[in-house]
Amino acid sequence: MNAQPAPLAPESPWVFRLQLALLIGFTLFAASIIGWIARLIYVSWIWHDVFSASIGIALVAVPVFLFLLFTFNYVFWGVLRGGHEESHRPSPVERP
Amino acid sequence: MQRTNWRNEDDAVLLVPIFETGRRFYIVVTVLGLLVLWGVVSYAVQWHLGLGVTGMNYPVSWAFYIINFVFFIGISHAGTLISAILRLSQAEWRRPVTRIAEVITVLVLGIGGMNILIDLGRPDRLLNLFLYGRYQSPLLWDATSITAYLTASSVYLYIPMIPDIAILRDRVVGGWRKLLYQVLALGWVGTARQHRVLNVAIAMMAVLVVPVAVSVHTVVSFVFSMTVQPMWHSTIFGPYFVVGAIFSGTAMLLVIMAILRKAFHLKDYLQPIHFNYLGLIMLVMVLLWVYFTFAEYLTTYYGNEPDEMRVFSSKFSGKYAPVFWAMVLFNFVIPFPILALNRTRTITGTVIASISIIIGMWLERLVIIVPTLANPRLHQYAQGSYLPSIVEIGIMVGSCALFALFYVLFSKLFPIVSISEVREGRQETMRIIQDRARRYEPGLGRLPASE
Repeated sequence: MNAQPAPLAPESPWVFRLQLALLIGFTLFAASIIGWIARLIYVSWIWHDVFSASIGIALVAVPVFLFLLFTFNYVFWGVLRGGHEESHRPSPVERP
Repeated sequence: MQRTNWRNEDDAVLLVPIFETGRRFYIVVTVLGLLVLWGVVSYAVQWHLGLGVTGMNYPVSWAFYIINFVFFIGISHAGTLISAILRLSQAEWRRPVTRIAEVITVLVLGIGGMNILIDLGRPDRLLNLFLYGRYQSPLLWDATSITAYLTASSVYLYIPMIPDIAILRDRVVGGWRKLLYQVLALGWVGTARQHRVLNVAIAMMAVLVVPVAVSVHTVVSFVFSMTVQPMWHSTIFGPYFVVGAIFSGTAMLLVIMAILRKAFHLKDYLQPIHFNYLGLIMLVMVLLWVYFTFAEYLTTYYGNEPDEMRVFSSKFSGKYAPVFWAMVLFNFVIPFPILALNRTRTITGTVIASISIIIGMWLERLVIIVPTLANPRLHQYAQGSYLPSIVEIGIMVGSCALFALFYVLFSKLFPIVSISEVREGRQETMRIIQDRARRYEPGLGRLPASE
């Protein structure tokens, strides 16, 4: 059988701030990639430089990053809120 | 760092590398650190003196660094792709393997991308590539798809790791590690809602990473096949590269599994059956690789186009024949019989086959890149040859050591086998398998449902 882990200490506000920084960092990263792709499309447009090819690649790349952004946010807020709302009701699956 | 009494727990062996640091750890880190230092010094020499210190020349302007780039990106297919396929196909034996594989992906993608930067003659102008890059160039498609794959793989590694990070958070009492685990665990306590969120996210990511992974190596092949260079301008290069990537990636995964099994005493987790199943996957990949190689070379030979035949001859019977035939030896002659026979598809057998394949696939990248550049279409103006310099060898050794070093450090911070998935498997596997069998086996539906 598992030994009982140490009781959870109340997390300091710094933990949440750092978690928020993690989320903001990831969001900025994904946003800057999307921004970079948009800039390259703009450059190809103003220079008449095979604009269509750039759009074709961007149509694949941008949704991937948007999807990753959505998934990361979904996990971040879902796990955080799930912990707060149901912290006294552990699931049938073993608690870690 | 203080800890609760974790030694009496189930799966305590998975926590030993994190909570205990032996002399062997410091020796390994020191040796790897020195090798990385060799690579750093080599790059410093190249930075100072320019690409003239490498063996690259005109017209062989792509060599070791690009070979390593393609090789490392190929290795990256070991992880996220295989892990995602095993998850989607509900292969229950995957549980101890997925984390080991996913870490490989994240680390080698970074190191593969680093090799591109090393190949730049003027790294100080790197920013211009980002500001004024031409997006119709396959080189920028590469940059985009590798960034997407690296990001997706990192998220895909992190999400299933959250319950394990919570296990560590609950057992470490103080220090910077406690803060790190608290932050990354996102307040995980294992509630039903948290499990639901995690399972949905993992399923969504598993679906996403398969096409992204396939696209990455297809796009890597486009760097070559979109040119009109002899023996590069091929329509099957995309799938050929993807097959080669999964082939070499699986081989690397098996070697790392064997090392971890021995070093961390994971015999109960990484069983002979895991090596057997992955060996079977590799056997299929051997045959696919031979099929693609045969199709590629036969088409060139039958076409008999002079420029193509010059490259073809240099590989078959010319200057690069030793490398070409060594590639065939390492990729097919050695591994095929080992993997084909049940008797030899053991842990030792699959590891020998894997090491052979890793060497063979690195040679394959060399055979694709260098002979074509040495025999270009405008051969009247330039023909060349290539031998690597000590600087390139140093950087290659440093890159490999950096991968190993990061892997060791990762296993010092996080469980290298997913504890939560193994525990879940222990509780759920029999029910999942019975329920699944009930859906398609005639007669089983009458049996009472499992708990």
